[in-house]
Amino acid sequence: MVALGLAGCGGDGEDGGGDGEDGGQLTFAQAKSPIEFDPVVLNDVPSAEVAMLVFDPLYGYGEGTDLVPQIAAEMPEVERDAQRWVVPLDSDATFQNGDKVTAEDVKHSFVAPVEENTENAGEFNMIDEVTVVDEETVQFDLQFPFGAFEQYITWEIVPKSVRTDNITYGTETDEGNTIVEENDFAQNPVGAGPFQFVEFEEGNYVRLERWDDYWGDPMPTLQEIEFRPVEEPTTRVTTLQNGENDIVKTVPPDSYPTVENMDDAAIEEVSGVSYFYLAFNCNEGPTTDPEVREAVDYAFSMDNAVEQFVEPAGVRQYSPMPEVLVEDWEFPIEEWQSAHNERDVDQAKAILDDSDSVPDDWSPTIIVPPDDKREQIGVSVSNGLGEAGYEAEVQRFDWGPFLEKYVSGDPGEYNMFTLGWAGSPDPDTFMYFLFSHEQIEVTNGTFFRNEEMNDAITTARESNDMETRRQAYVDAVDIIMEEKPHIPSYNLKNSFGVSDRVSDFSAHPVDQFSIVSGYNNTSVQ
Amino acid sequence: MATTGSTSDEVLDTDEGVGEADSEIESRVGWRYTLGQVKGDPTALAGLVVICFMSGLAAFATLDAVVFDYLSEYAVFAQFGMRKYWIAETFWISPVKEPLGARRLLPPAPLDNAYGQGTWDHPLGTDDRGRDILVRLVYGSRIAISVGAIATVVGMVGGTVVGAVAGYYGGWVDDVLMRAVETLYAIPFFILVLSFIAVFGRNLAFVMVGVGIASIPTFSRLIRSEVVSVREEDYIEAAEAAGVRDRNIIARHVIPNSFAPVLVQGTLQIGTAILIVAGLSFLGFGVQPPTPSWGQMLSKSRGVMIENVWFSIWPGLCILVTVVAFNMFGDGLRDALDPRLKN
Amino acid sequence: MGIYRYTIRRLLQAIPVMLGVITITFFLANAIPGDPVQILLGPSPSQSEIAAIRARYGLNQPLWQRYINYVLGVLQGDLGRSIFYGERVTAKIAERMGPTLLLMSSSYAFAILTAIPLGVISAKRRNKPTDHASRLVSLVGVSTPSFWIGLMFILVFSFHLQVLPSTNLVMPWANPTEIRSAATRLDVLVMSARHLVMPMVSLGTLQMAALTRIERSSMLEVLSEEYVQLARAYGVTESTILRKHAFRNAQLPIITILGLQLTSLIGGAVLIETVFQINGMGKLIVNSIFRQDYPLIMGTTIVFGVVFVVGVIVTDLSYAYIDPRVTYDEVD
Repeated sequence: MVALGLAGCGGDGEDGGGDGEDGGQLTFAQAKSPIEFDPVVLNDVPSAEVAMLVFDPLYGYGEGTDLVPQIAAEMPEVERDAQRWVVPLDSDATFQNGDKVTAEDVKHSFVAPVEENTENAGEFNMIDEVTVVDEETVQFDLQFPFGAFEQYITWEIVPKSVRTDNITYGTETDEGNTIVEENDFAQNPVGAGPFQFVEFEEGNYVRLERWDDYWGDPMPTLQEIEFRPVEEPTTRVTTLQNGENDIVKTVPPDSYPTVENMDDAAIEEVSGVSYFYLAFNCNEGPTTDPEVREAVDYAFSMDNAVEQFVEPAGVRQYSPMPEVLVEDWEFPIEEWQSAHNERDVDQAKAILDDSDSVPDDWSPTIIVPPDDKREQIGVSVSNGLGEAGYEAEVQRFDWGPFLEKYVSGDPGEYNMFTLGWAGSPDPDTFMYFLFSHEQIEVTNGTFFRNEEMNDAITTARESNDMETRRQAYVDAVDIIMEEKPHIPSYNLKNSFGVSDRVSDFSAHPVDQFSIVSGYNNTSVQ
Repeated sequence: MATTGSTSDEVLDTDEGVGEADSEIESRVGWRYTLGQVKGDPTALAGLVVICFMSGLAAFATLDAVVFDYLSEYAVFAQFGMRKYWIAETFWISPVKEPLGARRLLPPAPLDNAYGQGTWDHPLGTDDRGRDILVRLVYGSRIAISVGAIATVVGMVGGTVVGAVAGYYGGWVDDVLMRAVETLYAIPFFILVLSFIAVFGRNLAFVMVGVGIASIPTFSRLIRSEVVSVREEDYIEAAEAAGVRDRNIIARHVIPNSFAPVLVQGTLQIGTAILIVAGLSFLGFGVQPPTPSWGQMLSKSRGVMIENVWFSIWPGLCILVTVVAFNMFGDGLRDALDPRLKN
Repeated sequence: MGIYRYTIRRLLQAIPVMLGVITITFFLANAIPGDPVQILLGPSPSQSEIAAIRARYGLNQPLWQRYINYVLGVLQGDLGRSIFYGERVTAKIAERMGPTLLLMSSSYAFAILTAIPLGVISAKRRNKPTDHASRLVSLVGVSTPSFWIGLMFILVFSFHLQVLPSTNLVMPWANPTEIRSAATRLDVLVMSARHLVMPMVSLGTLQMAALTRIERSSMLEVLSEEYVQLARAYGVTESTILRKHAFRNAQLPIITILGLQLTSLIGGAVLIETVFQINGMGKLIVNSIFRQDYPLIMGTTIVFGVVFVVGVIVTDLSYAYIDPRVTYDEVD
């Protein structure tokens, strides 16, 4: 590929591909290296950040959590009490190889995760059938009325023929799934998004260039984007300071003043749709006893921990519902907030000493993922328990082993853990995946069982009536606040250190950030 | 001189040393002589003073953090209020607890930074959780010194046995053992320790053993080359003729007479081990919190280096000073053993 | 024994060592707790999927069978497939080898180029202030954690002075068209040098200090040899003695040490690659350990083992070549 260089140079009169203005080249420091770019397969944030520029979804988000048709021509027609969703496609939509985006492609994008049993298979287990009505209409039939489904049709669309041609399929398994042997598409993605994939070297960089024939609106001003992984947060801040990168992801709390004090950079942030928490092992061990969980809440101050180690990069959150949802759904947050205990070590000590489920030499294990904020929360708990006379050990693990451990339910592995969940702006994302019995051992490591709560979550999931859903969620959260399988902790902002060279870049509550959209169009001087 | 001889600076010294001594008695006189030489060497003495100081701190920290913790389980001691960090908490400040509202990341006393003005309550400042850095440095010495020393002893004992046996018997025993040692040596030290910890867990004992095992080759190669020359001495042959068992000959005669360079290397190795453990901590493979250790402090300080560099400087300096001391003393010992190179 | 026979003998001796390395790494890597397949597949894989993946990576066979297969594979240059990346281990290593070799060789070059003059001057001006200064530098150099030097460099030169880049090492052989803000080969070289200077010095300081110490004592020893004394007695000037008689012989220990120091250099590279975000073998092995990617752990360790063994043989050979006094029979 030849860089287009300065605007106007040699471009006289020709309106070949480059009729957009030259918005420059952006370097963007991610927190980790992406691995693969096939939306059907990918399941990590850095890969998703790149893929969302190469692929367009059926529906995207507006500036907030509102949905905007992207490959879809208009909002879906909801029939049969939200069990059937019919989506008309934009007839202009084309993939970067020139093929039109058809209903077949959409169907493939939604059924492939299940057929190939990728890590995203669980996302679509409520879909009964996807039907191609005609070339420009897709119909989704669900197993139950599912009000939150509109958050799931934000899925990115892949070109079926290109994708399947670049995948080597292996044998079919007993469950009727197909094993994928090799996936070249994941390393050479082709989508219908505003940027084309150019080159990827794992751990070094990903380069994207503007797709000059982008069918959608608006055409990006930015000419080229280079993503680079810089794993250490302070080093990311350093690369912003010395101009190595134009945008750095996730400003660590202690570096907020540093970035704010930079002459030529600023922080761009927005409250995210996320929820971070401390959870208990309710499967086995002393923490199965609600009294013990209550005592842990007394032993340390979550307010203080969040204030010291998370703010200003995040805000204290008192329930599993992030701020955005609390506002949208008018949840009774004051009531939930009052369920939280002020720190009282003596009280904690008294409960723990008297409890029959706690051995005298109890030494609980708190496992934390490789993230400083969550580790600090764990250490605060450990220190609090230490003062109450119980030495707790904080063990930090890398993601692989951590994700394996926290759903084991084995008190030898963990009594408590800290984790977070980010998702789409519907309460179902948080309640179903973190608390439903169905998700125990999958994404729910608490093993907390309460039929009333589970029924409420199921009722809310399988209904399209806003008021029914709301009441069910309030009931479920009430139980959670009472029984404390989780102690809610904080909501992380999506924050970016942005150089003054960059203009019109925007942080986004769901997508992390937006390069180009109906309301912004990033460029670099 | 063999082309694949010893492993580091000792290349020059392996064919010197006290192997020249004709008998054990003379070698003991030689030791006294050596110590006398060290006394006259101000650099080595300075090193020794720092080592003694750090070891004293470490011993004190061990008493307070480990011994008291152990004793407090017995009612006899518990009734006095004995507990972990008893001395620190009674007379000074806790190395692990953080009082509510503790001021985080304060700079050393006379300075100020974004977090506030330093205070003399915390002369070197506070860490990321508001704990006093000075007290944590004192208690962190325990990990550095004990891990360094124990790992080195493990390596020294293992290496000495392997090297002495190989050198004494020669032949196929020598071949087999030395190939095994070379194998161990061919896996980069750091990577061997890393995999060792990955297998057995991030436990202090395994860190020590891992670093110790990884240093076996250094010692065994060193002592083997000594033993090869000691073996030819008259008194060994005399002992063999008198029917003394091999095991006793090796333990009583061969090792003591070949030990000097091992001791020098051991002194230097403690420094190396401290650096390695710091590196392990940096990658997250070290001592787990809240136990204070220099390496871990260094690793934690990385996240706030821009905002409060002091948190990084102090543990770094402690490591530097301690390792320098072991190197100065080790150099002094070597010079004493090989007077030709002495200043 | 001629140099060829000697070389062959050294290579033959390396075979059991390499076999030992393969054995140790195989069993160590397989003893790491945790299930890589679980990590690979995420929360809810089906039984048949697990079985298929196990079969694909040969994990369904008994350990001894896997060991034999692995050794046979390695003999044919097949290090297996990375579980995390799904790529061939050899391909992944080939991709990551460049940065590490660049980092290691530049650090060695830095160490040699600074250590030899420092050591010689130190020996020549023994016990003068220059000597003391050089000894102090080398003493502090061998005693400072390399990663800490790197962190301080980043803070000072990248953050505060803003004169050097802290991440994204540019390879000197990179294609200029692919590098942002580089038009010619010269631009790429300059960029590469700017990127390399901090990691190189951080990693090379320890080697520099160790070499300086040896260079100094080696020079001192040579200078006290009889033939040097004799030359002095004949009125040959000090500088001539140093240049013509002493220098060459004093370099012999340095050569040996260069081979043996490779192991500490590799260890240091792991840390320095982490500090400067260099995408080399060191980061690869640390991440593989975190991800329990057995084939990759074993592959990288074996490759490091080969680098080390070859390094030692090469130094031994060059030693034998440079020092005519060494007869090849003397070698153990």
